[in-house]
Amino acid sequence: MLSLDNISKSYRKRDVLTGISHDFDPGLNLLVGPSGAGKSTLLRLCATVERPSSGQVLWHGKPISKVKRKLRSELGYAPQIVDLPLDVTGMEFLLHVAALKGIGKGGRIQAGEILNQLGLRADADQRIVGWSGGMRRRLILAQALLGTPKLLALDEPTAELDKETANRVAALIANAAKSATVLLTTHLTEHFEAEGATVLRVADGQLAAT
Amino acid sequence: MTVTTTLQSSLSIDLKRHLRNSALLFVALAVPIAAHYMVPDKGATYAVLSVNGQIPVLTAPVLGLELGVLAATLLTPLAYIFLRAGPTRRRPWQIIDLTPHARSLWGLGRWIADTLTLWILLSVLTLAGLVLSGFRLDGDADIFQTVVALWLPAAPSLALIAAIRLLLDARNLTRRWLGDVVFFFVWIALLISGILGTTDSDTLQMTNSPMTDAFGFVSPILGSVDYAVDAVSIGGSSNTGEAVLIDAWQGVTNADYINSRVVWLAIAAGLAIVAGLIWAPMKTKAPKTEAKSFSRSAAIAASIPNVPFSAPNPVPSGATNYRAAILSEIKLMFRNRIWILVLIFAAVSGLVLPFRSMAGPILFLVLIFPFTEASARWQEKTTEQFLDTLGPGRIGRTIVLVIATILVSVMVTLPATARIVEQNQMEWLPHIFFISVAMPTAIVMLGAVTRSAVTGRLLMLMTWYVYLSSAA
Repeated sequence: MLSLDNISKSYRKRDVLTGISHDFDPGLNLLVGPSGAGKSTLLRLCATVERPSSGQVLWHGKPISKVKRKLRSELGYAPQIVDLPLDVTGMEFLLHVAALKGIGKGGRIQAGEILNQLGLRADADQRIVGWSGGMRRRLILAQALLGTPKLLALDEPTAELDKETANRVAALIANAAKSATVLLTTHLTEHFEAEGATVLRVADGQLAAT
Repeated sequence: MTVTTTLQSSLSIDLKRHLRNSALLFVALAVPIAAHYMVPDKGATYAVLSVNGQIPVLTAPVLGLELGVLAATLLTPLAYIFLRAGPTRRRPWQIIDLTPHARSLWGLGRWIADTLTLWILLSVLTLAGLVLSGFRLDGDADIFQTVVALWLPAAPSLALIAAIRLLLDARNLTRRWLGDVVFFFVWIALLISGILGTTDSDTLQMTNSPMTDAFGFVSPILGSVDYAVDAVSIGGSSNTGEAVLIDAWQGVTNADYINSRVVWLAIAAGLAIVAGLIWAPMKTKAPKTEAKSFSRSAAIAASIPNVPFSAPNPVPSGATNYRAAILSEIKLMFRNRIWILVLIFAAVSGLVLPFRSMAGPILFLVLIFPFTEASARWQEKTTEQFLDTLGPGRIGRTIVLVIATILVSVMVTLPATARIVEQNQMEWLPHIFFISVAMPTAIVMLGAVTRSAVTGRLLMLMTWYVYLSSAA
């Protein structure tokens, strides 16, 4: 269970998030709201990338600052921008991330399956430099799905994707959400409407159910 | 399993990336050409190694030692540039910084990959040396002696450089220009400590353990002779024609020396592990931007419904406005306002301080950093491809940057120039020309060719050091 306990975040005295308390349901949680409202900030706080200015993010009742290592072993994080190493192949990249996540021999098989699900299998052995923006976006998602993440923090995973691919990605994420808490920022909820997602709106520094 | 997997994976992915780097092939092709000049024949006008002004007779171990010492000293900054500006500088840190892997082993894996890559180049140098030994030696060829005399100084030194590079990459403060400055001073310090720590400053005789000789170049040379040494020259001296027979094999097979090389290799591995342990997550400027965009976008979001849509006024576009482009580059150079103050200080120093010993070196040094930053600003491949669509093309953009940097340096050196002219010290005008025209041009060109600020920065720092030293 992921909870926010009165968290605030400000940058240079500008309040981005103010006093948010919330218990995220297991399953799919969509964070929506205008650009710059603080959705990605909230995601980064939950993914241990940043610390709140005040308050705490709790993982199973414990502050994530105290259980950071354990949480990171159960975390799948897909930021919007990643400095992908363009000179390696998609499969090599995934296997490297799998190794760093401590995933053993099953890593290659799982990586292949995820790439297959995301429609990237045929290009898996091509260097990333030749991949399109949409393919790179799916690769960033693929690495987050490696292992058995209990918390998935996904920053606009369907951006830059055509409708058909976005629906496929949404189905894959929904499947992962059966056994994980998924936080997902998006401007387009339509892909997830059929997946029974909880929609939360981030606006004016607050988080509210819609 | 996780432990070995982390080590193995970081090693293998970084090694693959190095091996796919076309620059590796380019350097590997250049190494034999360099080796040709590093082992001059008898008729050459220069020597790369001399003891008491005499050139050692080129035996098999002397040939190895010459190449090894050069690789361990003068070529180590190039090894640093090769790694620091190489493909592994781009990493998916947004993801890797959050994975629960053992940082120490990750660092160790990266160090092994970097070291192996440098050792591949060292192997090419060795092969070139062996080929040269076939027709340039004064005695019989001995592959074993040449290889040992080459690798003992060079291999641990390159491993140490790889470790230092990882250490400098580990912290946010040293990931950019400051890291190159730190490397430069560490490199100088290691060279000097090798000389001062190992020898008596009066007699140049070896007095202490070779452990202070991190690059392993002092001990084997001094250990090769059994008489007093007044001067050793490495890198470039004139060929006086006087030859001396030295026992380089004795120098490199000294037990203390061999032990010290093994210890330095172990120290390098230890530093790589430390680099992993002190690794700081990459600091991102994204939050600052987001904070700004938050307030701005909130305001925009609030105001959009009330604002009737009107298309922006069309502005005709035409040929590139080079004047605006030059001004834009200059503005970007001084985004960090501190540089304005630094350059004002440097300019004023030109008015009041003696030029050759103080003002010149100050002007030279302070201009290196904003110029090298500017030289790499637009060099990322995809950015460059995008810029190619805008009009002026690569040559045009390079010219714009050259003009911008020259304008800035001319402004900064103007007070010094005025003082030189006023005091009729015309001999310093070529120095002013170098600082205000040649140096910026060279930096911009190096940035364009290498797509990195590191090469220009380090080469200019080395040039600056020579300039400063020669003023003393």
